[in-house]
Amino acid sequence: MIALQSLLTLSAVLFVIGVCGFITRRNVLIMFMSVELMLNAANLAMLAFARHNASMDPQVVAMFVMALAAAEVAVGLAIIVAVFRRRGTVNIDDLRNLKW
Amino acid sequence: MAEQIFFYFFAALSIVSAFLAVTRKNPVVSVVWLISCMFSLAVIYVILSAFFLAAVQVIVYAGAILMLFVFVIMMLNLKTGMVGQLRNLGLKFVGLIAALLILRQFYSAIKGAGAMTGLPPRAAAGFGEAAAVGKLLYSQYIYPLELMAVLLLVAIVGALVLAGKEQS
Amino acid sequence: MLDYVAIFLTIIVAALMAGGALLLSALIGPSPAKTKEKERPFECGLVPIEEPGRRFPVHYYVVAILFVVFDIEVIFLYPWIASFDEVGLYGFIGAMAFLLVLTFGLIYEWLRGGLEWH
Repeated sequence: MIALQSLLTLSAVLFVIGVCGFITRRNVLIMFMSVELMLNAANLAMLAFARHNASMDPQVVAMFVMALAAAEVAVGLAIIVAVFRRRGTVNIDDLRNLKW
Repeated sequence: MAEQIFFYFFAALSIVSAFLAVTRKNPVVSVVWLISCMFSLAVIYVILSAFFLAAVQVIVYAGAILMLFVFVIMMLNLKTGMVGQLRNLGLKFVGLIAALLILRQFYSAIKGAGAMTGLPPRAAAGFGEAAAVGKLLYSQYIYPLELMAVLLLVAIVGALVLAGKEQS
Repeated sequence: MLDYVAIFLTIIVAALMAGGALLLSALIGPSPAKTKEKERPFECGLVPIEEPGRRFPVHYYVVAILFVVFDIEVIFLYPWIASFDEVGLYGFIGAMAFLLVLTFGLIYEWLRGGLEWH
C-alpha cells in the first residue's frame, strides 16, 4: 500500500527541483522546462488527492492544467523565438532590459 | 506489493530524471531527461488509477509539449557552449536556500496532515477512465471548458502573431 | 491494475531488445580505431565548410504550434465521446461551442496564410 504522504513528498521534491532549476539556470528554455516540471508536480499532488478522496473532480482540473501548459508553451516558445531573432541570445542575463 | 515496487522505482526515476533535466548543459539532453520524467509520472498516474490522465500525460507532454521544445532548440540551433555556463555562484546559493526553505514548508505541511495514511486499496469501477472524466467535464465543468477553448484560441493567435512572420 | 502489468512487460521486453542489440554490437562487433579523420563528417572527400546543423525555417514552428493546439482539442473531445450517452444534449451543445471557438483559430490561421507551403 502506498501512503498519501509519500506521493506528496514526491510531488514536493519535483516541485523544489523545478524551483531550483528556475532560479539557477540562465537559459530561458531550461527555465521554461522547470516551469513545466512544477506544473507536473502540482498535477501529481492533485491526482494523489483524487485517489485518496475517491473524487473525480481533481482529475478534470489536472486536465485543465495540462491544456493550460500546452497553451503556455505555444505562446512562450513563440516569444523566445521572437526574442532570439531580434537579439540572438536565449540567456536571461542578456535580456534584462524591458525596452531596447 | 507490485504496486509499491513500481511506485518506488518510478518515483526514484522521475526524481533522478528531473534533477538531470535541470542540470545538463545541452538543452537537447535536458529535454530527453524531461521526457523520461514525464513517462515515469505517467506510470505513477496509472498506479493512482488515473488511467485517462496517464494517456493524456503521454500524448500532451511527451508527445506535444516536449516535441515543441525540441523543435525550438533545433530551430534556434543553440551551441552547447553558448548556453548554461556554470557561473553565477551567488545565484546557485540563492537557489539552494530557496529550495531548502520551500522543502521545510512542504515538510511541515505534510507532517501536519497527520499520521501516514495509505490510499484506499481499490478504486471504484470506472474511476479515472475517459467516461468518468467526460461525465464531469461536459456537465459540471462546461464553463471552464469553454474558457479553455478561448484560451487555446488566444494561444493560436498569439503564437502566430509572435512567430508567424515570414522572414529570416 | 493487472491489465497494465502486460504493458509494463512489453516495455521491459522492448527496452531489453533495443538495449541488448546495442550492447551486443558494441561488445562483439569490430571496433575500428577512432582517429580524427574518421570522426569527421563525411562530405564526399571535401573538407566541410560549415556546421551540419542549420536553423529550421520558422514555418515548421507554426505547423508545430497548430499540432499542439489541435492535439489538446482532440484530448478534450475524447472524454465526450466516451460519455456521449450520459451527458446528452447539454454536453453536445457544450462540445459544439468548444469546437466553434477553436474553429475561429483555424480560420484565422488559414486567412493569415499559415497553412500555405511556399
